Amino acid sequence: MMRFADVLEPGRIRVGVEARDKAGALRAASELLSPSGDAAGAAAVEMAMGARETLSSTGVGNGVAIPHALIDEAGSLSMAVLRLGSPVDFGASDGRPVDLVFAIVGPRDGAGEHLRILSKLIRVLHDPAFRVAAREAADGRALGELIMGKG
Amino acid sequence: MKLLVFILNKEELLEEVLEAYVEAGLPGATILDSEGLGYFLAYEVPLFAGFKEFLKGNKPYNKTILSVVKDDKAVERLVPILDEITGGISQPGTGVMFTIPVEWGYGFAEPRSSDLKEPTV
Repeated sequence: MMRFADVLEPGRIRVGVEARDKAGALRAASELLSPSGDAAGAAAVEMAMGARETLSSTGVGNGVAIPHALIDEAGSLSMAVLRLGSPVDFGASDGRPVDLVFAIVGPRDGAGEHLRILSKLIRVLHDPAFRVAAREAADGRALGELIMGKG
Repeated sequence: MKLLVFILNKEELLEEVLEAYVEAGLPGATILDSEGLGYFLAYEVPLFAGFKEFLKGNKPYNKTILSVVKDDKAVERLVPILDEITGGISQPGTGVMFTIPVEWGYGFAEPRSSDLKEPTV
C-alpha cells in the first residue's frame, strides 16, 4: 500500500500561500513540484497541469482541488500540499472556491502508482473531519503530520 | 453446484455466447449490463479524466452472465466453444470467466434430463 510519506516531502507543504486565481495556485504548486528544482521544470509541470485542467476541473468540491499531471521529466511520483491564504475559483463542480490544493506529478510510465495515490487521497478527503483539521492545522508541519497520519 | 460467472467484454458476441451455453447444456443464465472499473473512473469521474489514454482497448460496457451449474462437465464443454467464438477468452479485452461454489440454492427449475446429457450434433 502506497503511503503519503513515500511521495510527500515536508518541504512541499505550505500554508498561507497567496494566489490570486487558479492559475496562480497551479503556478505555486508547480514551483514546489519542479522535477529539476528550477524554473524550467516548474514550467513543464505548470503546463501539464494546465492541460489537464482543460479536460475537466480537478476541483473535487468542498474547497479541495487535486491538480495532477504525468510528465516525462518527472523521475518519481511527488505530491505538494498548499493551503491558500484566500480561496480561489477552481471551476469545481459544487462551485465552491478552493483553499486546499493537493498537487501530484509523476512520470508518464507511472500511471498505476499515480492512480493509487490519487484514489487514496480522494478517499481521505471525503472525510469532513479531515478537511476541517487540514484547515485548522497551525502550520505546515502540523498539516504534514495530519496527512502522514493517514498512512 | 457452482456459479459460473462470465464477464464478456465483447458485447457483440453475446448472442453467440448464449447459444454456446445452450449447446453445452446450460439452458439457464441471467445477463446483467455491467461496466469496468477503469472505464467508469476515466469517463464518469472527472478527477480521473486524465487517465483515459491508459485505458485503451477497454470497452465502455460489458455483459456479466451468471449461471448456476450442477454439471461440471457442462463447463468443460462450454469453454472450448467459447474459445472458438471469441478467438480465445484469454485474449486481452475479451472477457474473464470463473466459478465459485454455491453452498445452497432454492427456486431452481428442475433440469430436463436432456439438459444434463452430452449434447449431440
